[in-house]
Amino acid sequence: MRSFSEFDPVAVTVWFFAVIGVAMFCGHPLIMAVSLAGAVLFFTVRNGTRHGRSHLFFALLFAVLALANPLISHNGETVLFVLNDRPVTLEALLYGVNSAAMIVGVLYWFRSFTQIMTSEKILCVAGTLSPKLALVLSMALRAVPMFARRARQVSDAQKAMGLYSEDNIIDDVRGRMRVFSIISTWALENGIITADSMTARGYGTGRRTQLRRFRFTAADGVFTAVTLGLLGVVAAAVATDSLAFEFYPRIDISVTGALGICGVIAYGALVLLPIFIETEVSLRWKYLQSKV
Amino acid sequence: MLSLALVPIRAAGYGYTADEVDDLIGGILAYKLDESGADDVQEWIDGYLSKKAGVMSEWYIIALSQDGVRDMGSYERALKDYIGSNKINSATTREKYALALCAAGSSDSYIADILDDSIGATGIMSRIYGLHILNNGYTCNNYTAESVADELLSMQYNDGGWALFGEYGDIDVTAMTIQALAPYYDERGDVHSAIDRGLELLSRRQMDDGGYQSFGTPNPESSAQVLVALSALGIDCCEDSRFIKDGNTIIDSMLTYRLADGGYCHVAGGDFNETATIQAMYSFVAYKRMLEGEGSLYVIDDRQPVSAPVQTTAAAQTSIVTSAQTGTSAVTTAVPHSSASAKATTVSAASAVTSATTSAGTGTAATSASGTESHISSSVKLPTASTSAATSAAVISSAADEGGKGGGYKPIAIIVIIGAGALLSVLLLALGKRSYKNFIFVGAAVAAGVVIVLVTDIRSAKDYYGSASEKSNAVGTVTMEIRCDTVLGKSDADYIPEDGIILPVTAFDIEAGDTVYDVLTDAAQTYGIQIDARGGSKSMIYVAGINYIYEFDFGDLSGWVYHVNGISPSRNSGDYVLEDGDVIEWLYTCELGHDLNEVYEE
Repeated sequence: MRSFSEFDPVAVTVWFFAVIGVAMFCGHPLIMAVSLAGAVLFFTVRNGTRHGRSHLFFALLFAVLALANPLISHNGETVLFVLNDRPVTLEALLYGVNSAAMIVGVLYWFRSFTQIMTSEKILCVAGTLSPKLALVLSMALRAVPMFARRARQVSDAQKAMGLYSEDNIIDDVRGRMRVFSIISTWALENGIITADSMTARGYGTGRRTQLRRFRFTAADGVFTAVTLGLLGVVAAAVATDSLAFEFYPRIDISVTGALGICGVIAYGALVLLPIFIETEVSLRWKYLQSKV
Repeated sequence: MLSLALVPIRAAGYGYTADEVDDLIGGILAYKLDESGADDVQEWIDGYLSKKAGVMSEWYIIALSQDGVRDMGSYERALKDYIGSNKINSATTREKYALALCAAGSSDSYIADILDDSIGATGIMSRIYGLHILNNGYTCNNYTAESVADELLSMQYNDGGWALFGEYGDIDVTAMTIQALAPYYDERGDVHSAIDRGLELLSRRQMDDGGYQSFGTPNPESSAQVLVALSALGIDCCEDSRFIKDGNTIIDSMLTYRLADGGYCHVAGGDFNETATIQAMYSFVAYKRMLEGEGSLYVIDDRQPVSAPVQTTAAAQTSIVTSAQTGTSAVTTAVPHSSASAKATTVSAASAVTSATTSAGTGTAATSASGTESHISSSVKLPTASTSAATSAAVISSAADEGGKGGGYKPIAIIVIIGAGALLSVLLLALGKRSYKNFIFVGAAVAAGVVIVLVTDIRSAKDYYGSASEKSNAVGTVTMEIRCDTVLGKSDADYIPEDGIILPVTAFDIEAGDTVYDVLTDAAQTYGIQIDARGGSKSMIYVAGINYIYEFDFGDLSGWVYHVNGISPSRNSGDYVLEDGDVIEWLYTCELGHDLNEVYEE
């Protein structure tokens, strides 16, 4: 029995694309709620209580995104208050909460995606199709974690040079801006150097062969089939307009059909699939340990 | 064409006997019974009318109760259920339900409880219906029958009439005001003379066929209201020479709208119309009561004796916020209708106003009404429980300090921000982070917060909508209308008015430098029309949506455009400075203006 991250990259990719695709292209609040809750749950199941401060950042991002919409859109019947002659409505606020749930949920899915899908796996999935695409993808996906590492290095170097001796907010902000400026310069340069370096080594000049460490087993096949089946139910609900929902001018859930509810349940099952696998594996692992 | 059956029921002279009027009422009842499949009136009340309680039954119930039908138990329960499970935002609708409960013989406290919050909430109609309830002996804390009657007297125009807005009396509203004031005709001298002036207007405006027209359209509803008003005063419209023109009486004119099956139509030759039919029915009931020497239609015979009002519970139920609001809203919301800033001018707009007036009269508010008071009540919901504590604090202070003008929360907000800054500074001191730059940062943050508070203006929906902005230095008058004719039939959304008129032609005062966008904002504020404008500065305004109809809702080339004096300006609406007499139209286009006969600016 393998944990979810050890499944075949193709199966994992198909599952991620199904989950993220539905979250991005179906705006139904129930789907958004399932997506956000599932994404946060999946991330914490895999990482435990680490990354505490990043959760705080995403909570803040959620609040900002949710509150921005009612300031921009003034559609909706229930006027909460009037700001500079423009009505701020409950419907626009709820719409903002919905969009924020979508964005933050998808961001969380991608955090898990970059953790599970290492460069090696991405090259394995996309490398045979298009080496260039695979290279760009793996470079893009490793960019952010690499920036964070690099920023820490630069910041440490600056500290060692005595540039953060003043302990106050203004100098702190200025110091961070300097670090940001340094790493963005470095990132631009690094991108070109990496590309040049890969070309110099002959990457993409001929057909690429690769050593596959992964094997598409029967379990992978079953997992992919279940994923596609559940995705099919959601797609059918979307295609028949059963997953419709109206925010403006007033909240109307009555347009959501019975098939839509089936779609939400199917999406919930899809999201929980790897969490089941992970829990099952860890329970079995503890059980085996206890026997030793 | 429909064949109009003019039933020859006239006996002798001009008059009608009580039996003949009873036949007319019976004709309408027979039609309605047939329509709903009920066998007799009681079955109709227990079945169809109870099922439709809160939706359309109320005026039938009042008419039937006053016509001597007694058992309304199942309807009363149905209406109570409806009231219990629905949030009723419109003041006139609440008052209509209270009257219907009263007519159904209910002793529910709802009838008296709603008065304080409803009277004066949406202009003259809420006062008229409120006075009807007070006339039945119910009482409330803030108003008495005398005070409401005084307010109605002060709303009379120079021509002797009353209206929802404008400078000239409207037949329907004048008649309805007289109905409410009728019980004081003999008691109070000022009411007596005011009603006499109103009657003069009604007599003067009567047409040669005995009927009335409202804003250029002859219709039976206006006649019905006049008939109810005259009957309430004990005047027999078929005997009084003031109301007989060329030998034709009001009832004669109404019968020309009678259809073969007993129903009534709204315009001559038209189809069955529910509003016309019910108004005809209760006006005949009122006339019959007058012939039989009984009282006004709206003083219910069958009402329960009124117990002493339970004032303490009513006060306990309303929170501090709402009681603070009602005090000011009574003053502010009266402004748009009593001030002469708005008047309907052309015929096309006038027909829209007619439909609004009549629908307010029957209480089916907000079905086709556009731009009038019933519209306000339907489109602006008050701050609900979901409003944050900060907002309700703002509501309290704005209502208390500046009487609904807003901005009263600002000193408090600034003090809170400065206090937070001071607290943060103390915290920094205590934590030993005493670099002077920390305090510069806190100071800058506090200053930014104060600037934001100063440039923003937060008001509660209740304070904002329905209060007209004051124009002390008016330099002229412009008219504006908002229409969406091009989308009619393309969507069944309930917020699209049936006639495509969101705001009928309405006059607005302008000050020097006022732009098209300023007038649009005025209209939105005064009549509670939803507007979604984007862009920060005035010359960057983009009107994305009006009345929930948005750009791109009807194709890639759809959206709102404006015309001034029939010409499409190539300027931003926030840049177009108006002159006296300009005619503004806001129109929805589905074809980038090609469906609007556009003439472009030189």
